Amino acid sequence: MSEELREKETRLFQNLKEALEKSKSLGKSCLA
Amino acid sequence: MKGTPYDFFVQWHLTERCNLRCRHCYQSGAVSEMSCEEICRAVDNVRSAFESWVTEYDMEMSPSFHFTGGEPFLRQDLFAILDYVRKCGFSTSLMSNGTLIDGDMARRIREAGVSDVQISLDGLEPTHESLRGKGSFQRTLEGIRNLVSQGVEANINLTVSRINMGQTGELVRLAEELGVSAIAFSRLVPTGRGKGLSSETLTREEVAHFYGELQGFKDNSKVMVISRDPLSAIADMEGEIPQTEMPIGGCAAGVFGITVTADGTIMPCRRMDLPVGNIKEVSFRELWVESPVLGSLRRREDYHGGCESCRYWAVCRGCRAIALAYARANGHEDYLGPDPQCPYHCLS
Repeated sequence: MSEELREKETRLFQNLKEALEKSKSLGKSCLA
Repeated sequence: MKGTPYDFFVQWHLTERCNLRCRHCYQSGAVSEMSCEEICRAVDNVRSAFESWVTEYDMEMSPSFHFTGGEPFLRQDLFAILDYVRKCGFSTSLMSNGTLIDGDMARRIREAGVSDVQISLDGLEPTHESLRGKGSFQRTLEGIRNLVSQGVEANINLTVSRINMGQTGELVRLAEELGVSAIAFSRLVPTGRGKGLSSETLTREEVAHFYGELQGFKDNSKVMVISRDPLSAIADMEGEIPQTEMPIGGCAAGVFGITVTADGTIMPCRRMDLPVGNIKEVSFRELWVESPVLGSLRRREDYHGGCESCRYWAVCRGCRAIALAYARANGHEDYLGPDPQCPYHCLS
């Protein structure tokens, strides 16, 4: 994985973790 | 310290072959199928991404694999695939029309440790058979009964349209009688063969009426009555509305779910016919980060026509598959526009 992609991944998961801290779950999955 | 688990699901279409030919199906044609060995390698590809996210970002993950088709029971190697995925440590579920689940099949499903089976049921007998073919209703019910008698968790999923939206009460009662764990409702997406039923999709007013009615059943039924529709997150919402940069609920596309089709094509959602790669050819970990389509689904500023300014954006974003289907019907390749059936349009 390139350095650029790794940085992008790090930002993505930082944002995701911050969002998860504000919610009990991501809700029901819309499987169909 | 780890926080809320990251529930991530993989919806995997093992085949597009089916013993039924439903009028509203989002599929429209046959494609080649990956072999069992190719599927196991692809599962390893996804597993590797999950392991990296857990170890490198201290994520607590709750991943699950949901196998479907076409009709998944037409794959002779279905149980070998389920066995492999379970041995990898993942929860497995099945999505089926139920018609091929006899007593012996139900026993094998239980022994395979499948967590639940979602069965499609689209109305009372005449309605269901007008959509799925003559004789299919009783065979589906028999499949559900076989699962329940084996102690396998079964739940019903119904594709809601004008054709069946008036049957909710009777279907909830049927679900109670059958002993399923839940009955869920999803809106019809006019894509694939379902394009032929475009005139039967709900209006905004009908969506508002339907979810209002569903709320009553949620409070007064012996079975769980749920909707997997992103818009239902709004109807169910209590308390403060989370405002986050990253989506935290609603439409799973690009956020907490991915679809793999029978030939390995990866899509944000199966009803969103928008290939972003092939699981046989790409690193899933890299694709999840670098795909422009997946990235735009996570960015509020990329949305337009209402969702981008809606206070429910983080928990809803409408159904991106329905937004895309309507845009395509109007000659546009646009998956970030408004969900035209949203009754909460532009709540800012």
